[in-house]
Amino acid sequence: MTCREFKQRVASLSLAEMAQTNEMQIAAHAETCPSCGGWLAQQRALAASMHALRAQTAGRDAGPDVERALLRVFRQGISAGVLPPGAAAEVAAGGQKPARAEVTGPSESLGFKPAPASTPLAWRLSRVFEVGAYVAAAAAIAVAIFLGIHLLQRRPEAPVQSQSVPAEVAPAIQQPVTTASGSEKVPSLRPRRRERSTVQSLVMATRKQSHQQAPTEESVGATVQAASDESPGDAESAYTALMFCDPLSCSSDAQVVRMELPGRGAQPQVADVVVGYDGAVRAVRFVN
Amino acid sequence: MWGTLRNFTFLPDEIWQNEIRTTIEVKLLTELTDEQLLTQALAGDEEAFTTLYRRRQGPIFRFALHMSGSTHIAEEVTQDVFIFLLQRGREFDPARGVLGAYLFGVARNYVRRALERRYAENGLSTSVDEAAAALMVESDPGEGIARRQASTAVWKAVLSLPEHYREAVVLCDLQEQSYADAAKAIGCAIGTIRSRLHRAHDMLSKKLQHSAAVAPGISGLTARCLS
Repeated sequence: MTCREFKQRVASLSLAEMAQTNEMQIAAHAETCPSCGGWLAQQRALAASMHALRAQTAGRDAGPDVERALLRVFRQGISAGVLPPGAAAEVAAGGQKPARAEVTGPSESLGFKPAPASTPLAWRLSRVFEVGAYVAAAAAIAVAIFLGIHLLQRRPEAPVQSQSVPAEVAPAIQQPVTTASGSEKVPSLRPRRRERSTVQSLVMATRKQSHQQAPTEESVGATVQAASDESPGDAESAYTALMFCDPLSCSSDAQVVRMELPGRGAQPQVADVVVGYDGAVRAVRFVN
Repeated sequence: MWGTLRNFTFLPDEIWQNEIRTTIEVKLLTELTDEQLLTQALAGDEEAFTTLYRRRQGPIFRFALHMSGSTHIAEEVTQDVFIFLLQRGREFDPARGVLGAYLFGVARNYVRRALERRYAENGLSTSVDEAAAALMVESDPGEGIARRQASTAVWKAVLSLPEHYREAVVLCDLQEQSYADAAKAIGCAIGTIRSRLHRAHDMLSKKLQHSAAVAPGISGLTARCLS
């Protein structure tokens, strides 16, 4: 008999059978093979210990209080026609047991609803590990939220050739200025590049303007000159201010968003909208 | 036999007839199967319920005791199991298994809940300590110290097993349930019971070896005293 055959043969026996077996082949192999012999001796010692424990607790029963409490429940159920649903709690209140929630269900194999046996891993490892696991999970969630916010904040800047409008320029865009000729002009701003996106909105970041452009009346009233690679047709339209802005109320940069609006007929109306980081629309211009 | 006894007593006939009827009823009840007793109990027969309880409460109590190491939890589980049987015993289907396995399945769920509650309150170490104390206090004083120590060591090792291994050991090795009944109570295949038992025995052997190394002599005494 090989060690493998020995293991297979012994594995089919219960612990008690293993302790009492006198099978010649098993005994012969256990004598010749030290490892299998040692393993068999361990199992026999374990079987003897189990037998002792079983014998020591064989006479243990539930106390007479339990039987009395159960008979009280039984009589209550009989007198009521059916057993009351809160019988367990009533017995607990009358007896020495603490009140507990009603448990539902035995084993699933017998066709009944089983009680949910939620056994988290941390519970097995003790409360210390459980608390540690919760703390680790909370820390992981916090880090994930922080990274997510950080990525969302950085996302618009990276891929797009962005142009941001300095805070000093923004009010100049939005405040209509009356020129010497009497006509009202609004500041205009030219995006550096324009692309159409599939979601019908295109974020066109504006280029950061130099702070040296002092907001004099003339320069503010004039259009803000943009980069030389812009299409000439864009210069024809100007931005119309939609709100009053001063350096205090509009201190942040702004973005230009190209939008397609429902126009007359089939052709949509394309517009560039200057949106501040507070979400408020500063100005708008219609491209076509 | 009754007629012979009747000649030597002075009890009235009515009392004798009642006595004989009660004896016959008890005898008949003890001969009924668990399923028949349950049917009668649910129909309102208190004697049938008492007979069923007295027949089945011991294994249920000891199962809960071996699983938890706590007499209090074992009594609580025993009470809950039979209250559950009174409330929802009509859902039991004899075609799907015997009542004993069904009751072990119910007890298993109640033990799990009780252990979860206790672990949340006291931690894992309480069960082992309670088990040791229970054996040391409640065992026979005339029993050998080495035997008690060995039993305590084994029980501690069993209680330190993971729950799915522990319930296989308790059902098959300590409650002497067949693999089929244990599989029905736990709700798994017989092969799963076999593999869990095999793994649990290896773990127990290692734990006992370790405890013997910590407290030398216990294992040897166990083997000598109990073989």
